[in-house]
Amino acid sequence: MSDSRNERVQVRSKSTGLKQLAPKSWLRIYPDLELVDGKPAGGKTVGKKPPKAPKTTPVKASTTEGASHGSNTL
Amino acid sequence: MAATLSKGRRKLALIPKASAVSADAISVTVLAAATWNPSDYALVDGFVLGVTGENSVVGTPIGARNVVNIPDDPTLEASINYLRDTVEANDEAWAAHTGPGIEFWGVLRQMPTKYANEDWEALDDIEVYDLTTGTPYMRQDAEVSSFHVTYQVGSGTDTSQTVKAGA
Repeated sequence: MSDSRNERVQVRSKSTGLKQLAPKSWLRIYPDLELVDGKPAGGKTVGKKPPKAPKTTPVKASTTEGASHGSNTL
Repeated sequence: MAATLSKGRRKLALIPKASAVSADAISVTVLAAATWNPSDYALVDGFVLGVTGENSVVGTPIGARNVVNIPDDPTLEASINYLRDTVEANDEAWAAHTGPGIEFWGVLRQMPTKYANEDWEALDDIEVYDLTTGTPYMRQDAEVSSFHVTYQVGSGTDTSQTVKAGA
């Protein structure tokens, strides 16, 4: 069984303007409803977060020639 | 084939709460906006929607702090078995009940003068139930492929309403 059946989206009634969190399949079952802004609501289960960029340590510019303090290069 | 409500005099509609403001705003337009007919899917077997008894205070001294039931307060219950359809595009009842916490107005017409296959009309007597789904589950021992849903009945319920004419 596909999990896509359980995807909930924010829908809005065309006639009353009221909003409700509902299964995406309701857009086919109840034509009076439309998707709000085309965005899924909640955002907890939909889509993946982009991977975090690795942490980088800022490198201080050395003020003393030849000193390696503050730098992670040899 | 198992009997559904569409063969009798009870007609059921499930309206997304977003489509109607309140229990007294259910109109012909709102009822006609749905493309599927829950009466075709709701099985007569196990159909419970309405008052199933009255609360009474039993064995609790009057004035006790733990009295939770109000005497003569009607007990409302809602649990329905729905048919599944083998064609996914037609499996409407299943598509409408994807999990717990989904809110509907459940509209029930049970007029002795009208059959379920007759259209909703203004001034039809209806009972409007404030329904929130529990977790649906497939019925393992049923003669037909079907699933069960028990609904929580909320305080917006009004069992003596009529269908309004306008939008």
